[in-house]
Amino acid sequence: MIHKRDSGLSMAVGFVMILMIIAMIIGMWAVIGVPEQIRDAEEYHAIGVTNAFLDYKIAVDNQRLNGWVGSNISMLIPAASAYADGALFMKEDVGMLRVYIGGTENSTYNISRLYATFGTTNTLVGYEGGGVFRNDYGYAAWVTPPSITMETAGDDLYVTLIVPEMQGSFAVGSSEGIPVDTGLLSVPTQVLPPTNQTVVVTFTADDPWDASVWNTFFYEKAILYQNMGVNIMSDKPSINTTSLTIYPSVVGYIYLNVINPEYIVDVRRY
Amino acid sequence: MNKNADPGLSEVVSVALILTVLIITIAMTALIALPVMGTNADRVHNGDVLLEFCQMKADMDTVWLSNSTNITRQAVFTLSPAADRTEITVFPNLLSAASFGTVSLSYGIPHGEYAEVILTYTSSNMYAEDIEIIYDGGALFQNDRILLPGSVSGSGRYVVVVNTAEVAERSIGGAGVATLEYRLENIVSSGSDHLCVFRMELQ
Repeated sequence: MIHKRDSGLSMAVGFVMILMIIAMIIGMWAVIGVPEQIRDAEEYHAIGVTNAFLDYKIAVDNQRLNGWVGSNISMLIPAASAYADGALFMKEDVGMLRVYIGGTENSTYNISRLYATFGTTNTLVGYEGGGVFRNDYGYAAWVTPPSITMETAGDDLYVTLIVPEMQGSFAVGSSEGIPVDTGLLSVPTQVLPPTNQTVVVTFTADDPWDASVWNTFFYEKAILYQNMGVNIMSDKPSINTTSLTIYPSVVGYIYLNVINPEYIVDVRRY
Repeated sequence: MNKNADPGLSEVVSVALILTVLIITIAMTALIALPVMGTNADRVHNGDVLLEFCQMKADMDTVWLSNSTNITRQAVFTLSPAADRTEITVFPNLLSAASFGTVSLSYGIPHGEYAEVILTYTSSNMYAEDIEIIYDGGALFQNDRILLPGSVSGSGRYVVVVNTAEVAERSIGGAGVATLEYRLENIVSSGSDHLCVFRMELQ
């Protein structure tokens, strides 16, 4: 009887198995670990971009609050991450804010948007109407909302609405940060005569998600000031429109001031 | 059965094969992976320290824009990739320890008792190209190219200055972090310019 013995067979099989385990570890790292690392880095980057827009809001608010008319400031929006390029957009007239007094249109204000996208472009972070928002996959939320304040004095209600108007139009892509110059042109304040009629503020957006996020703003303000005794309600009559209705007290008046600072925004090309 | 067969031969061959694979892996790591990772770490740090300077400029702009006097704030600059790492790793960070940088505070154009402040970061990278970032009185330069200009209003400028009798020139180098403490003292006019007088200390 012939016995074919190969004493090296088990070693060869063991060696191949070790190679397979190494290949499997490398494969799992490439398939699972690398995408996870990139996702974490993009999340971290999105927070950095959001913080940059918050700094931007603080800066332009300070320009207005301290009356630095004619001054400009420059800031870097870190749109690109270590893994992906980014882009910065400035769009005028993405929405329209209207003020109605007693059912009659009194004034209109164009709303503009400065925003950044990066990576898969599923996330937008930007500055609009005095607030900073973040939009993920078409669902947006305010990081910090626009400003409308109300104070009661006896039967009267004092309402102050701040509507920044940013002038400029650009779309810039970059593999680095994108410098933005912003100059304060003027700070007009429209003081409307006291009224004992209903005041309605409506926002009509080009994009339904934009109307939704403004509706959130109006809703939260309505809840806040209802708790303070103001007769106020929010509504969303269509997917592109939302409204905030303020009722005067029976014998009181509404004093509405609209602060409408004008800025000019441009990207630095170097 | 072959009488010349050596039953230990296959073990020896197997060990030699494993050692060969290990040596090739280590050699490829040393020759290719480490320089690539080192270059990447240096470039990421170049970008990060630029963002740190941009953040410092934005914060300093916010201070004088809001006229927030006598409030001390801090800016932290990472001098090397070794100081830049935030993730938890099981491996020692050998490759990034090779790079380091320097931050210095110096005087620029004088305005009487004040001088425009110049903050400079200079890298000494082991792998990637070096970078020089200069904050000069409110404007930010990257490798002598203006990145963010200072603020102007008409023909006047808003200039960040320090009192040379109170603030010392200083330079800090290494692989760790440097901290800049700053505080707005007041804003004074000088011709058409507005001098934003800061007290600063680099440590």
